[in-house]
Amino acid sequence: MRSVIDEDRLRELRSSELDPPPLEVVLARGARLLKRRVRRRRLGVVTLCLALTAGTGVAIRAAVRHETQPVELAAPTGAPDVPGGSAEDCGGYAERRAPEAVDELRYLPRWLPPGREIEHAWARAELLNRENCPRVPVAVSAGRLAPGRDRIDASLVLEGPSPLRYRRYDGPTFVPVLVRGVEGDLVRFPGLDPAAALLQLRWTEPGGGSWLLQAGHVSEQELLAVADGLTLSTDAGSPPASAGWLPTGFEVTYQRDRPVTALPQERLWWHAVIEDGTTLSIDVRYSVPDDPPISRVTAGATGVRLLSIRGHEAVAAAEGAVVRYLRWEERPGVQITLSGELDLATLVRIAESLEPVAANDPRIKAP
Amino acid sequence: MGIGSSVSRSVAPERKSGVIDKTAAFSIWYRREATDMAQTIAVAFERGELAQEVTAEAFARAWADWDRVSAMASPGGWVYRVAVNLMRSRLRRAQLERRLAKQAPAASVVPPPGVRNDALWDAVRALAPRARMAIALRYVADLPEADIATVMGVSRGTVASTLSSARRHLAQALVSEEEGCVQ
Repeated sequence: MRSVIDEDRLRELRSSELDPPPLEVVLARGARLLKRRVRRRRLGVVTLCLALTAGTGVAIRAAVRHETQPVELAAPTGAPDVPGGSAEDCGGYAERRAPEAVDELRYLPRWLPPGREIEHAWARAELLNRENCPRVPVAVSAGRLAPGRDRIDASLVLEGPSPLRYRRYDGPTFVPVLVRGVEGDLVRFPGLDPAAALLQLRWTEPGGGSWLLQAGHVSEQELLAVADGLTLSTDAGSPPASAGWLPTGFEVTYQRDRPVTALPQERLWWHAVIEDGTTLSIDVRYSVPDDPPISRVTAGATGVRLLSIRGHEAVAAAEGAVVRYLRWEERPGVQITLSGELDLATLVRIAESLEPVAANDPRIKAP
Repeated sequence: MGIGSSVSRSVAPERKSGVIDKTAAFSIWYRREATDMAQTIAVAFERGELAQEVTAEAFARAWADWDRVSAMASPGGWVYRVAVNLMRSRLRRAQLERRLAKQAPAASVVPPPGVRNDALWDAVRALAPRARMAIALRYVADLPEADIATVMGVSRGTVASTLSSARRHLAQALVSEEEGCVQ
């Protein structure tokens, strides 16, 4: 019996017979949505003024919440990914490998919330660091830590050097700027809270090597000042970049001590899925390049928790009560990520119960 | 990770006398994506009659927020996620209305227009909803795995394994179908 299906056959599901609505209809509908949104915002301001007059805090909170909540159902809240270099497509295959292939990565939890069980767990190999899509290491990251030093409220990440230039999209948010004496791009990713908008600077040094600096909760002038203050080095024994000036409250959270010289084109990866209405996945991978989790805390994200898991520094990115992911470095070069719609306490309990398992563990099931 | 790998699907606005023509950029993008989206939604949710309406609403939202959406690395991923969420919310509402109307029957399931291979359609219909959605996003919308993960709100590994398992199920179902025909 055939075990795979010809992918071309699946493309027979495509069709051009289901006509999309006429463009004019969509444009008119979008314009109406925008008008309605503006009207709602105005209403929010009026409500706020009334509330101030009446002196009721409840109405103020309602109006502010109305103003700052996204109107869209599903606008991504994180920063858009930036492909390394000018890659057209950084997606790679994820071939299945035998569980025996990942002796150092094969972990499963001893404890799971009641009613949940492992749906499947298997090893995979992932294609990465292709010529047109190099993996660009983090050189420096900095963050503004909350007073208890258990949370990062704003972060700044410098990636580079990339062997390829960063792609310039022809779009309204790209602004040509002078960075470190060369022409670069300032990219604005507007957010609902203008103060938290993500900013990026992309430039190529005269001697080669492209860099990407991104941050949230900083001004454009501050970001340019950070870039101008960087010390960049091509010396094999030196850090590729060191921070100079940083915005008030920021401190260096990670510094690469020497350049990355060679990266593999493939990495192994252990993946377990626990499904029960919502999905929880456990990923154990070699980190390529070896950026520790804290170095890649999303620039512009707020409320990233810093905690200890199994004696290692970990980061947890939350959206309200739900944690998007919990990540730590189990051993040098091996990172574990738990992602799923669960609260932090549950994720931590699962994380603490992870243990290496044999390749013939009965819970290991192919997807 | 967010949506980001399908750079080829990014929006390339045209310039008129040095000024970016937003409407032109949007219309090019719309023409490129909208047919596939309507078909993807029809296949993923088995509801061809709602697919056009949801497609119109998702793109209208993109147009209402075009400055932000056009700057994303993958506006296509964003609009698919909006459409999927809209569809889910409409189906939930329809389910509630049916319950309130004392269990009126659900709308009948018909193949989306253009899907002439009934055996393939039957096999896709038999998949679990998540697997069907992954297949539609991969083979109708042609999204890369990273974008599918963002649209579905799951990890990339889950997408890879869901697709792999769905392909296996489809292969088995279609082989059984063919064997049945031979007999």
